[in-house]
Amino acid sequence: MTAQTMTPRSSSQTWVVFAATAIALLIGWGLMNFVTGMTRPVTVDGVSTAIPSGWVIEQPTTGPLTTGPKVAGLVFTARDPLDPETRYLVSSLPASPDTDLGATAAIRNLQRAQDLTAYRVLEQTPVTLSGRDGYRVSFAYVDASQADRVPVVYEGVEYYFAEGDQTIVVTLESARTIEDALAAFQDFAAEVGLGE
Amino acid sequence: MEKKRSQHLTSIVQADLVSILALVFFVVVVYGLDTLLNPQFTGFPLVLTGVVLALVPAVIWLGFFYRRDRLEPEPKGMVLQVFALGALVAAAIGIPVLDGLFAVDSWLTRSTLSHILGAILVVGFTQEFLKYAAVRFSVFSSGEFDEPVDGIVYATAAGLGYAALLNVNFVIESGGVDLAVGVIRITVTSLAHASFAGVVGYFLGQEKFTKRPAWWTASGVALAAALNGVFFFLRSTLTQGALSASGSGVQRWLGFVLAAVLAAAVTWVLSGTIRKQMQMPATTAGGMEEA
Repeated sequence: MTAQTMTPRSSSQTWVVFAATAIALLIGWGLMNFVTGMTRPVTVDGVSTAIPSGWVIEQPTTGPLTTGPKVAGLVFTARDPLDPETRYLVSSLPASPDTDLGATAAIRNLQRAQDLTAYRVLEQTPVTLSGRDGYRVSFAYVDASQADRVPVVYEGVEYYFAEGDQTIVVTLESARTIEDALAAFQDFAAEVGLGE
Repeated sequence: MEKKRSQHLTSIVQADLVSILALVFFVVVVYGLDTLLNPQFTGFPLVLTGVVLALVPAVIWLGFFYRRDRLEPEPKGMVLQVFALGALVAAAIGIPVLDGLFAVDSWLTRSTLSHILGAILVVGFTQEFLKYAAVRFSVFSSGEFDEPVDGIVYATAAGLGYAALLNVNFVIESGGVDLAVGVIRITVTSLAHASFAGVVGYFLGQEKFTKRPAWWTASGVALAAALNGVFFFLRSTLTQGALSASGSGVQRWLGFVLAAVLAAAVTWVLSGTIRKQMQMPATTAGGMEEA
């Protein structure tokens, strides 16, 4: 084998290939950010928000949910068809103007501890999300509801917001680590409100 | 001389037929075994199954492309090294970039437009650039790369290495589920990656031995990326259809068949290009400018 030196012509060809690939990948990166950032407004039973485009919505009033256990006051769930093990849930609970969000969360936690397997509250604290006062609960449970698969550990986080005579609960549940999905979920949660 | 060339051509056609029959036999055997036995693999047997399913079509296709270079066959060891390098760049860079950095599975199929554009700009360019790099920064500067057609031979080897690693990854990630459909996908994917890399190799061969403008090879990578992206888009309809209730069986297979036709068409064009280059005198086919 004879080693040959690179000609200047080959060198410029190589740089153009690098540049073309870099430009393509940069445009691709922009496309990715555009597509993942796209949302569409939805209003379900008086609760409005914006969900990522391509996601599907399921309502307990229009048919059985294909994923997830029953949740009190559930208005709808939203999920990515490409990632069925991560979902957003929006619930609406009756409340009075002086309702304490922490107390509402405690009651809901007790209820879920009865309904779900190995439900654990990992952390709960008052928070402010996008200038909106609320209450956050981090939790985990085991979904053993499907007989044909191994029980799955779900991790989740939910925000409680007071909205007039309702408490809106916005929940993220995922069978994978929730850190990656948290930022997008917080954007979603900040958009949820009553009315059109 | 003409008679000898004709005999040689006949022997290549016969060998190609044997290759294609061997592939069909392989697919039929795996399809039949999976349908009859419905085996469940985990752990090491799963990895072994993935490696065997990925390597058999890759080796058969490698022989298919290797035979094209009948005038001055490249050293087998060198071809295998480039094959291994293709697999290495797929494992070390290709898969982490596409699955980790770009997370293409999570957004690409949100709309048809994003699917096609993303497949070309992200998937196509990443994969074809890496195959290009596997050849450009290894064998390209060596004395073994001594005729334009060598670009196609080495690039297809890199493409097959890349495909082999993707296919092992595919079998392991799917947990060995539905190997009957999987083996068809693996065989077509191997051919597609080899043929698209062959396009890059053609441009590389011309770059080395003929005077070309600075954008020449980049346009080859872009063409291969576009073909790769269209293939990826068409092939994805197989998986997408399986996930959605609306995708009928016919629709699913139609996309896959179109993807296979695209790969076969590019292979046919490549084979014709190699044949033409073989018939050219050395001065026209290249080699003069480098001297």
